Amino acid sequence: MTTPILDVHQLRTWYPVRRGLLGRGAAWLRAVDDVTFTVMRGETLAIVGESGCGKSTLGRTILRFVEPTEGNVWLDGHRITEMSRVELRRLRRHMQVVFQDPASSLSPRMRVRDIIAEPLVNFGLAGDRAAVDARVADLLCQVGLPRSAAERYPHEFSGGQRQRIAIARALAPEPDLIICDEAVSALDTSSKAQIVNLLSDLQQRLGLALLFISHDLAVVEHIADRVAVMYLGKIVEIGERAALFEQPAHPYTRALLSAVLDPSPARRHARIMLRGEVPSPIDPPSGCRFRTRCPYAFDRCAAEEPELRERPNGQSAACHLDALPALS
Amino acid sequence: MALIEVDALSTLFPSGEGDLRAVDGLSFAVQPGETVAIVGESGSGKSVTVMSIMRLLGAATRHEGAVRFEGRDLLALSEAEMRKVRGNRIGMIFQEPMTALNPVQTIGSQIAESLRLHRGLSRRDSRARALEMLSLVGIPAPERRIDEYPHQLSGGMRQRVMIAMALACDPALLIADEPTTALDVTVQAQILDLIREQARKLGAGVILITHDLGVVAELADRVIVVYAGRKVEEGTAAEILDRPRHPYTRGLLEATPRLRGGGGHRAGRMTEIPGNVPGLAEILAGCAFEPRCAHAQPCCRIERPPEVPVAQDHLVVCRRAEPVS
Repeated sequence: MTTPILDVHQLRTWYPVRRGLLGRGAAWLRAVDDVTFTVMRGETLAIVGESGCGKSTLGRTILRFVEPTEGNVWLDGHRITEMSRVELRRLRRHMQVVFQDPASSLSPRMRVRDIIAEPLVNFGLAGDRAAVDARVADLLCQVGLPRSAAERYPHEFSGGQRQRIAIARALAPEPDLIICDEAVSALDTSSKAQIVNLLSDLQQRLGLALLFISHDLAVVEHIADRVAVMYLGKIVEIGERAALFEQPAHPYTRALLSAVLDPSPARRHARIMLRGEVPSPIDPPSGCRFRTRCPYAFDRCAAEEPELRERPNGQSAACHLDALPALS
Repeated sequence: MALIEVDALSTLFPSGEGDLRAVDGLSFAVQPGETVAIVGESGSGKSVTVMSIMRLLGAATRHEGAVRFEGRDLLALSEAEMRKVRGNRIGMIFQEPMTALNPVQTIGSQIAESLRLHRGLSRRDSRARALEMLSLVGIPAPERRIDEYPHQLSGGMRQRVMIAMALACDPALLIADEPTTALDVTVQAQILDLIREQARKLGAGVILITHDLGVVAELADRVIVVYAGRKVEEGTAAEILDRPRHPYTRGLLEATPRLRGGGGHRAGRMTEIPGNVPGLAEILAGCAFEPRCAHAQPCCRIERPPEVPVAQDHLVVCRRAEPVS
């Protein structure tokens, strides 16, 4: 069996928070709370959920922008949790990131050439100036930008084009894995489709693995091989895209899918209106964390936390119900 | 009679390279009780349009055309007169409540302030009405929440507070600029329901600014599609969403990610609109969409396209559209 490119095991990222005027009674914000999954080479795993579910903290913990409280992460068989900063630096070229807002992740004072060349220089992958220029031109071509873009500054480009620059920079050190943190969420409709297609093309051509963090299920359906749904720091359902989209096994997945609005009046569907909003991750509900908003909650849900269990369709869901009630 | 009539509105920002025309001769009207969506991508001028209507752009901005509302041209009012319109006859809901609400003032006193200003209510009466508004928009435990600050509330709750503020003076017109864009999907439906229900109760007209055609399908009676500051198509929501005629509107609908609702195993590529939205400084003598249009003819580059009625209540600004016989 092949080694997964990314192996995340029982990962916890808790932040200490102060309570009360004197900071007594310290509590924990459980942003990521016991998360386990793998990503194979060339695969796209989407992490979906609403704000506060911990999906971005999960990405940042894997990148070690934030230190995990517990658990482990292996990148291509190397345990990157507990690695020293120096060791991590060397390995980081294999794992790159594209953020939501290219305007704030690209330095406004650097030319596009230098932005894309930076990782080449940092990881010692650069040859002489001519070699760097050739590589930058090649990367620009791969992301669909003209060679002349190299001499310009980020502000001269539209949002979609800036995201292409960010992708070119991420590709520069030839990574095995790119973490896309809401990478298309801030884009307009027409550039969103372009960037999703670009990521799919690059992935197929270069054999990249993607960890695609997003709140947008309609986009995820176009790009993901597998999908993990997070709620209040935990994965509540994980499985193959088709199984999870066609027959969700967790009530939260079903509600998320039903909340996606469709422009065609003919394609309106029954909507499951969830009560209220996501509770605080500082004080999550007992038992199942979703029970306070779940239309199907019963006594056992408050008393006992459901484990992820495999379902007949192959996906795993953390719900006490074996099957969801039929939609009326 | 129309509640508000925007007549050949242009908004010009002065710059070193001459005036930048963010809105370019836009006309539309909203009837009482009607929800009109202005749909477009960033740079289309949709937000600038409502900022112009509300006169919220700086003194350097120049306007052409007219905005007739309750018998007056808003573009001709003094700032003092305009202040009596904003938050009173016209309520506004913005995308990001955190920047629209005052962070150092309790939510109750923010709502009460506009009631004292516009309605001359006493301190006690305005607080009572603020409480009533908070409960109307579905804030749980409003008597406790009324003395809280914006940062103590969740995103969805803040958006409800802003709706309460916008509605407090019973406005005739509600302007909602991307009201659910910053919200989670499961909260979005709640907020759209709230806007729809409250506007109906007041009989208010609504101008909805959005890039999201799914939101349009939920809320709008009529739709105006804008591109590069110009109207490209206008019609009932059913006409525009089911029978779009302009190549740009069609492209937008096809590029909108949507669930396939089961069946098939590969989701595959998304439909793209090639190219990019033109910059404000670009001079477009002909159709603004021509550089990206698969159906463009040489004349599209030279001449502005005509407004062509293609059905009852459906107008397309395109040379290739066939008029209704």
